[in-house]
Amino acid sequence: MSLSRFCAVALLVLSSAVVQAAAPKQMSVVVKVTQVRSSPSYLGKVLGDIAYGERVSVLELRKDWARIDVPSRKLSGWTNLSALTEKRIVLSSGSGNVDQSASSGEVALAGKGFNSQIEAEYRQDGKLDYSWVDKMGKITETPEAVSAFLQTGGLDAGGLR
Amino acid sequence: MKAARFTRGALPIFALAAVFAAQVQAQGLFGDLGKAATGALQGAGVINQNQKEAIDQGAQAVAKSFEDITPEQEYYIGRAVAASLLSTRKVYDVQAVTDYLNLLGQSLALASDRPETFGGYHFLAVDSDEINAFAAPGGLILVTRGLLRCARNEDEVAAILAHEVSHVVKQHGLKAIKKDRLTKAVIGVGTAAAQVLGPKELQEQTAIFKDSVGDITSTLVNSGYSRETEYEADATAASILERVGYDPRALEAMLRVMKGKLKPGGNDFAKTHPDPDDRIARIEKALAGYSSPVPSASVLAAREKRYRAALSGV
Repeated sequence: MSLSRFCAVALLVLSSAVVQAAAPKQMSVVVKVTQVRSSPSYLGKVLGDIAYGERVSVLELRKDWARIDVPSRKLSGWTNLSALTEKRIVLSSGSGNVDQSASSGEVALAGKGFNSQIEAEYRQDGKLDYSWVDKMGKITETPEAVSAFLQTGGLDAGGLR
Repeated sequence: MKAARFTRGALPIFALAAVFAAQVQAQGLFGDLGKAATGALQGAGVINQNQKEAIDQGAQAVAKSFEDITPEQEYYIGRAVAASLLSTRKVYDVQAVTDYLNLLGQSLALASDRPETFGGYHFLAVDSDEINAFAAPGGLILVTRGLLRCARNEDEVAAILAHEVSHVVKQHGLKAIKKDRLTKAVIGVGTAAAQVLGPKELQEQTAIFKDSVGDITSTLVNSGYSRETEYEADATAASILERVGYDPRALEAMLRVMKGKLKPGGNDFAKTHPDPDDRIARIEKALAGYSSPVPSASVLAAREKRYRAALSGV
């Protein structure tokens, strides 16, 4: 076997390993809640929501988007990769509800650090007013409103992003 | 004989491939390693450009999740930083202003390299004549009325918000936490199984949390980020503006207005940011690669109308 054939075989074997590993079968939602859309774009129609810790099957990657499937809910479509992680998120409550999880659950493997328990202690100690922070966190612009804002202003959300 | 040689040669290859695959799986295909590998594969014609991009992008997203501070932890830090900032500042609670800032800010964040954070991006105006803005980790962004008054059109408001969104995207706030605190915070809690902290651990971790929040707040309010950090936020902002369709040169225009309004020695942007002239000199290099869009008259009129409706009274 010539050296070049040897290298070609080695490259082929390595490439299949890379391609297989690069399309992870399972990912978890790493934000409170995100949307599954009909196309790989924030302008795509929202088909449903997925919550922190939910496991999804990744079928395809395109730029910053993953085509995913949530078999348990017959939900399938595109989600931005910034909302997903390859890690499994361990929620103590066993549910995807962030308010329950935040009290004691943490991201798997990290499983350490700052969480709602620390925040509660910090708030007691610091006597800080979180009322505006809570209000701020609830300000929600619907995808339709953002889409209309962009359209009226002759703008877009960065193409496929 | 050839087959025998092939078998002998193939064994180490498969062993190597198995080790490589195991490492790739264990490490989540870290960015640089993955990019070098995919570059080689693309060069060899094994994968095409689209596949290479998809793999690299996937690898990048995966690599991000390996940051020491998880998005959930970043969220709690950001909330505390915002609470601290808002404890001494009054919110400018005008619905039209809040709606406008959030629609515009959200549009910019979606076009960034980090469109989604744990709790999302949210924007509020602060009732102050100071020229200032603050980006708490995770996406809680505050802008003073004084700074909003510097903007003369929607593109310039977008430039302000894009700069703040960029601090969140690049996690500049988290980088202001002293490293020894982070190490203690990450390793100090015990095993992942210990979900509920004991009283002593809780006290310890809360102290580290408080100090970490203090590091960020004091950077935002007093010392400011390094020049390079601010230049990076400007360059990232220019890229976001260009992606959405705003004029990246609005950033330079804003800096020129601020240059005229900032008072040397002032307790605001003048204290925590490099001189606008320095930022203009740096941003000009970054802007050289962008062309200004030429919106139609109707588009400009639509932007002007909503900008005035929301901010004319600010």
